[in-house]
Amino acid sequence: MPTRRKTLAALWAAAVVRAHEHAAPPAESAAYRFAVLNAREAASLRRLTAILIPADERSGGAPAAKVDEYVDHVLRFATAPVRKAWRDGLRRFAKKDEAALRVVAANEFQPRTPDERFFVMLKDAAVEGFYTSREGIEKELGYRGYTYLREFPLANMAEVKRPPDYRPMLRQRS
Amino acid sequence: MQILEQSKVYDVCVIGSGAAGGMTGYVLTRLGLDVAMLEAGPRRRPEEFPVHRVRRWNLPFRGLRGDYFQEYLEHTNFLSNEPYSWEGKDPFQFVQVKAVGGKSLFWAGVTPRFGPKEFQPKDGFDTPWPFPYETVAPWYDKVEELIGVSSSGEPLGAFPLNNGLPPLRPKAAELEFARVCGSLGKGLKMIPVPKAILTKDHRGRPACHYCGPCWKGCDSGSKFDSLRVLVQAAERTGKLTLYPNAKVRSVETKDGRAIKAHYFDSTAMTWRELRAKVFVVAAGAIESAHILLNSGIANSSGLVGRYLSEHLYAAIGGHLPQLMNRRISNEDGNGAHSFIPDLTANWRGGKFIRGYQIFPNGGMGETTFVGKSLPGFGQEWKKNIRAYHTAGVSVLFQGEVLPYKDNRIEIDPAIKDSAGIPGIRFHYKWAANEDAMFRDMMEVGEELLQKAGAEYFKPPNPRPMAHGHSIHYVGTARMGRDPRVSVTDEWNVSHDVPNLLINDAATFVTAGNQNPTLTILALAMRASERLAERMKKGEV
Repeated sequence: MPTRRKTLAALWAAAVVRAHEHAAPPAESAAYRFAVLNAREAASLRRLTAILIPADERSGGAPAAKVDEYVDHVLRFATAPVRKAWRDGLRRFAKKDEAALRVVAANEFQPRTPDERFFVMLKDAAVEGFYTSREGIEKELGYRGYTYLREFPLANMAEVKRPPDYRPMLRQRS
Repeated sequence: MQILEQSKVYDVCVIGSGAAGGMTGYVLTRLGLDVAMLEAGPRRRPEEFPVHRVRRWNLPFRGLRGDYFQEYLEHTNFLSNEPYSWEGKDPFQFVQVKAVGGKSLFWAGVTPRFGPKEFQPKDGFDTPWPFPYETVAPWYDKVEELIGVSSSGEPLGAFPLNNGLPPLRPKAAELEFARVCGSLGKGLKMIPVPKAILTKDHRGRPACHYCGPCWKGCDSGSKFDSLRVLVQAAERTGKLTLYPNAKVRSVETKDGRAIKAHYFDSTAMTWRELRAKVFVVAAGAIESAHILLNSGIANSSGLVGRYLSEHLYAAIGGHLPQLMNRRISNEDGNGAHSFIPDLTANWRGGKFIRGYQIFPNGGMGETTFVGKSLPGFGQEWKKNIRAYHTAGVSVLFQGEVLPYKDNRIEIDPAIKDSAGIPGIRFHYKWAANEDAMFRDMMEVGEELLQKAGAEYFKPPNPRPMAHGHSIHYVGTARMGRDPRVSVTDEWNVSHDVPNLLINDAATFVTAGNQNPTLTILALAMRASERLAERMKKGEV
């Protein structure tokens, strides 16, 4: 039986899928008008994603990537329960600071409570919004594709080695 | 309704301008025939090809709405959005590129030859092709020289060596997988992928500049596409008349011979007719069968639209710790540079018949979502994402789907496209052989990842990719010697209509496990040269 979190995640994915059926503005247009989230919710989303993906010397983080606009854009095509989950969550999280987010993140791979589940939605959306943006791809990841090479280089196997301090870090959601 | 009829009678009318139609037009015009080419899509200029201009962040849904490729094609107005339907709950992914050049504009360029065991399977299932590998080999040679194919480097067992240009250089992730292939004890061997992508300048086209994935369309012409290598060369003969925006509904016959094509001119929004002495349907296996079914011709066998096949796709991903923390460079190349061909049956025993290719790949890709699997957030978390970003790998499988008579397209009773042409309904299922092959793919994928030392998760509920995902549609008008159980003869000529050819992958008897385009080109070249000879002798 699907859990509620899984259901919401599936609905979010479905919203992304459904969204293409409608005319849509460019993902990073200069003047985005929020269509689903009100000003307070959008501000909450902006503040929270800036904590998750802060600016640093590499990039401007989630704010520069306008992750808030990406989320609202996908929510335009989401079902009512997904929109409600987002709006409720953003209101509940309006006062949460970094320390409070660390608390709800502690259980992110086995979320149980509504706050823990909302944190997972927020984090997944932030990852998707940021790491598909120009800011995330070019500045944070430093992607070098789409440049011209005269010839394809031999693989640099000298730098292929397991980091000395390597320990597996990846976790799977349940 | 007004129908505009042309008085001119062309020698040959070619329907479609992709790999099959382009090759047909190229061969026939160079042999002096007067050819009309009907293409449903518009003519797009090569400089319009969006590879460098349209990036992931330009897509409204960042390539995440389900399928990056389809979102990309749709956003750039290359994707046909005509309606179709399917039987059952699982959709069939039907991708049609509407433009002169067809799907060849956006293919990935992978060109393994079909080998002896693809043309003449020894397992007794269904029926073999009406000829052996040796019949096709000289045509493979000619096509490879014409379009420029990078070599697979070394001959391996029954897997034929592609001739041609220097092999692609392996990437770091591919070398890691090559290292562990031997330790699986299954006879797997990683070799350079043969691709219709130039590793050096060839016939006036520049070598690849390794900017990125070729399925986004090549702006330099270093990847073979029908528009630049075939259609434009045909135009230079002065013998080709290209009709873009010409959507063919049907081919009309009279006294058993094809006499005209009926098409919708979507520029003038009017129906037109075009006359020719010979008609060659080459619109892609599904669309060609669609046209024949709507025409009600060439189907005394009842097999038009049947034996629809393609490839089973599956993938498993992970991260190789030894690839972590590398300096970022442009090392993605033009997609896969190495692969594991289907060489050996020694591991699969009796689990399933036929085979699959394996593409283990990795690089410093455009993006990563590994952040979802890394605990926490903030600066330290971002640093971990960067470390894992260079370590992402995937093992992609492409396997043969057996030809089943009931896998088919039919004319949908209700759906009509924008021109009012009756649309397609898919009936398509996989069976026990595909299920067993898929399970084997997942086992081999996990073994490869484990031996390479990958950090990965066993997929909780693994599934192959959707029906049709390969876009390698074949089989819908199969060739054979017996007109009762095949649609064309071994020269792609309809058994029923002597001046009608079907020159694309519709005539394939098996899907093989290899990418079909090189074989489409070879068979279209072979059939077209023979057609021209026979026309000159007045035999058609």
